Amino acid sequence: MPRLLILSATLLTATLLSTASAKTEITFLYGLGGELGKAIESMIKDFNAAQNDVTVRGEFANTYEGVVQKALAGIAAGQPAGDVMQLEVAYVPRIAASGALVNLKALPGFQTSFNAFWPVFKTQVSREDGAVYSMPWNNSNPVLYYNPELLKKAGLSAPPRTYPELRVAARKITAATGVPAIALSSFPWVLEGAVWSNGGEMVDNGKLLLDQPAAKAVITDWAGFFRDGSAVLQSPNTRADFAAGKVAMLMDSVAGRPGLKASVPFKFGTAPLPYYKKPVVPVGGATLGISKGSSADKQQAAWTFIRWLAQPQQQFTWIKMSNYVPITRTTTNLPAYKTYVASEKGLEIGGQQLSYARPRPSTTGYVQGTQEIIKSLDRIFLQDAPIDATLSDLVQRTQPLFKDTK
Amino acid sequence: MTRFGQEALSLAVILIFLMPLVWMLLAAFKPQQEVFIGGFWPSAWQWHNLADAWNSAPFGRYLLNSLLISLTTTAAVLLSSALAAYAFARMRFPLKAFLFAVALGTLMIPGDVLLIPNFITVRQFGWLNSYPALIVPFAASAFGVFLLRQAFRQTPVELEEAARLDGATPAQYLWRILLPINAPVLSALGILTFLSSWNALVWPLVVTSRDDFRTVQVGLASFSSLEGSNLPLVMAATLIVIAPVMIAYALAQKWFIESAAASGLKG
Amino acid sequence: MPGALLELLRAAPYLLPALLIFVVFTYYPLARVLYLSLTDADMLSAPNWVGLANYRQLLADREFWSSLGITAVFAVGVTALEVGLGLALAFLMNARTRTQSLLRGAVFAPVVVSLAATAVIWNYLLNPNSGPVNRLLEGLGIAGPGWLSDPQTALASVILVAVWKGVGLPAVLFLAGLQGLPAELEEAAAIDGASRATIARRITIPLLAPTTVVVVFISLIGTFQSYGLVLLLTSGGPAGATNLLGYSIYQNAFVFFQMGLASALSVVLFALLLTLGIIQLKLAERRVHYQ
Repeated sequence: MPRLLILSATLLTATLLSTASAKTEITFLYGLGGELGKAIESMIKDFNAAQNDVTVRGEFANTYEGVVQKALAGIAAGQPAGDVMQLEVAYVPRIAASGALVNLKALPGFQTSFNAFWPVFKTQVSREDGAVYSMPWNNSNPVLYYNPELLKKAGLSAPPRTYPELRVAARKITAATGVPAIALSSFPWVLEGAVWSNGGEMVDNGKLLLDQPAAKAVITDWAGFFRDGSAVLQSPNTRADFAAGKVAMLMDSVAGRPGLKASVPFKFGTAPLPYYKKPVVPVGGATLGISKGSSADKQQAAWTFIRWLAQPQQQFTWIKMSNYVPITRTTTNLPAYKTYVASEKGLEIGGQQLSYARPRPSTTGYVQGTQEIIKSLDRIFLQDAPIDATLSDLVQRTQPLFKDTK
Repeated sequence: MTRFGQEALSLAVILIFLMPLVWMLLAAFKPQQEVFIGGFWPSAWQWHNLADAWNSAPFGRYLLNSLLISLTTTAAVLLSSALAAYAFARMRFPLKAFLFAVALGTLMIPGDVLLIPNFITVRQFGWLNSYPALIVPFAASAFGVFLLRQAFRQTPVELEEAARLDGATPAQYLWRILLPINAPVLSALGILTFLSSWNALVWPLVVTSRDDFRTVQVGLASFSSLEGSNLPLVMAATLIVIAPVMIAYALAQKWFIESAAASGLKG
Repeated sequence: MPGALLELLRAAPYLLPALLIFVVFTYYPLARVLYLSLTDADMLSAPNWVGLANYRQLLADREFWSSLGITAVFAVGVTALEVGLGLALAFLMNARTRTQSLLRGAVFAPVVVSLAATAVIWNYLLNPNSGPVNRLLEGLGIAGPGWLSDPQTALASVILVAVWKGVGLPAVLFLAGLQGLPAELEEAAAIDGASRATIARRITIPLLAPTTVVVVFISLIGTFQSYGLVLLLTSGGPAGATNLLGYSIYQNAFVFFQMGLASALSVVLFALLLTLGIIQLKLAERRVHYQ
């Protein structure tokens, strides 16, 4: 592989040059705030203290969407918005297609790093042509958070494990307490898991499959929660509602835990995500990409930073602050990690669910498709729109977005 | 309406307009677990929320940036508007109606439509992450031109004739007589420009990526992120962001209101 | 004509600073947006010329029409409320009450508060389950609505927030108008035995017509451009209930990366505002002549 050699040589030279002169400064554009944002800044600080070649400067872009906006503006301006960018998995294909991301496969030590990841994360970042434009970092899956007091009032001693159980429990809770039992989301993340667990698919053969029996059954079931008043739509207010005892359960990322712990005044419970026929959870979160427009030494520095973050010790430090799931087997097998997740009930679930986790659909059309799904589900859940007609309309409307999807 | 009715209604209206700000103020000093379930007052005042918010981002730098940008923008708008308004109100030249329409036409073009092309322009000028990017595109205002033109047209023309007889050039007349006479309108335009510059959000967010040039509004936007939001801290940050203008407003309320009012008088 | 040229040269130093900025930062980018609306630009690859395809797509899209309707409701709603409430508040602010100064200060205060702060504050206040507003209503025995989270009430809620933030300006403009009216007219009418309501309806309000034109102009232009609240409060939802045209542009451009389509939407919004602006301007000119 002469190209690899040349690249390695270039990078080596660049490294030598950079050590000879000053430190290489790179920017890391990220999109998580609150407790998680603090955790990211803390990781950056650790990295800067741990070595002498690279200085990372964190830059907060408000949200994952904000990272993408800045990235795009950077492409338009011909000046990368950040050397390392935290990219939500669904956004990667669009940005990679523009040629703005480095194909990491060609970088030194890629294969070793890559092989360490759990299979689900390898699948998540691998494109059809074999290229890899971003490395897994902060990954999560959803769990069921519940208010044990409200469940107890409804005579329930354990959280529901399946959707049929959830349905029964929800009715009981709402009847006994008068508050909505569960918050369900129109954002199709938890829904993806539900559809897969019911034997269905989200996208295939160039279109959405939400009008197919398995998916339609899930959506009809969910709509039932709203129709009998035992569900509310998940919104930015939901966590506050949960904290105030105004909703008994919600399905949310394992990484939502530090935020919940900071704001919920009671001891809340955590349970595996409910399922239909077989347990499946969707993997979510973000991956790290390197801007092609950055200079060679910055790319090299970025790569060093990314690989440092994936090392077990750093992963573990990060997980303790953020409650994301381990992305490598080695981290999962760390004795310290095992002790940590055993220290508090509920912490272990995210890692356990990895064995039946699936990556989110990440075709270029899914970004816009997601917005259409949200709109249609809002109509079904909140405005009693007819399910059959709304879903077939949704599939038809979004077809142009998925025409390239196999 | 009776005297008593008016008094009661006034109190109700005052409450409606100020309560949101009071709630925000109180929430800024509550413990995090109390924002949604506690009583009206914080059970224990968390004064450190303010310091925590202040320390979570370089707010001092943000405030300084905002102040610098808003003041410069305001001065530039006053100058460019006065000059153009004088020409439109008092000078004769060809294409006047057309050029006035060109100026006013900008009022009907939503700024956000121009976001991307302007971003590219500013980049081409090499202005990304610099003060000019935050000032120059806003250094002229069609509203200002319109407002001052109306004011200048209503200033008695005899003044100008008298000045000319005394040998004053048009520029001298504008600077020494027209502007001082129309000080209320100028101050109105100044206040309104300052406020809109101070409160701008989208553009500063797009053209700055370094804290060195960010404004307070961008700083606040960074706080209201959804994941794991700490509401009292967000409210404390909100307090920091609106405090300078609100304090100025509390001290000079009459001037603020009369300035704003002057902008309509000349319509 | 050398005379005309001389006049133009003399006016140029006065006109240039403002006009240069208008050209560079408004008209040139506008031309660029017009061009982009005829392409499939996505910011990621070189744009291709597609003719009127974006416009055809818009006309066939019911989301576009619904967005247009929502924008109209929002603009008319906010403007009507700001003008109506602004006038009513001006009368109250003009009355000699003990709290007059505080009242004026309170009504105008939200104008001073930034959009970002307004959104942050109201997002907290309007939390349907535990926000201060609904807890207050609960205390009064009223079940509070879902506000921003319910498609039935979301648009109304955004209008409410916009009016809270914006009505102070029309109110002080009307107040200034009221204070500028000759007192003799009202005194004469009062001597003739007209009631206060009649005086207001027959004399005061018609005399405020020039102010009203300005207020409507400012409100309308402002609302068409003020999708910032929607961006920060509802993201166009729920169920697309608050999908203002301005937000739709933002979403297509920055979320879907359809710059071509977003540019076409921008051109439509621009055309709408231009039409409204011209109508307003004609009205304004006519009213001024009455005076």
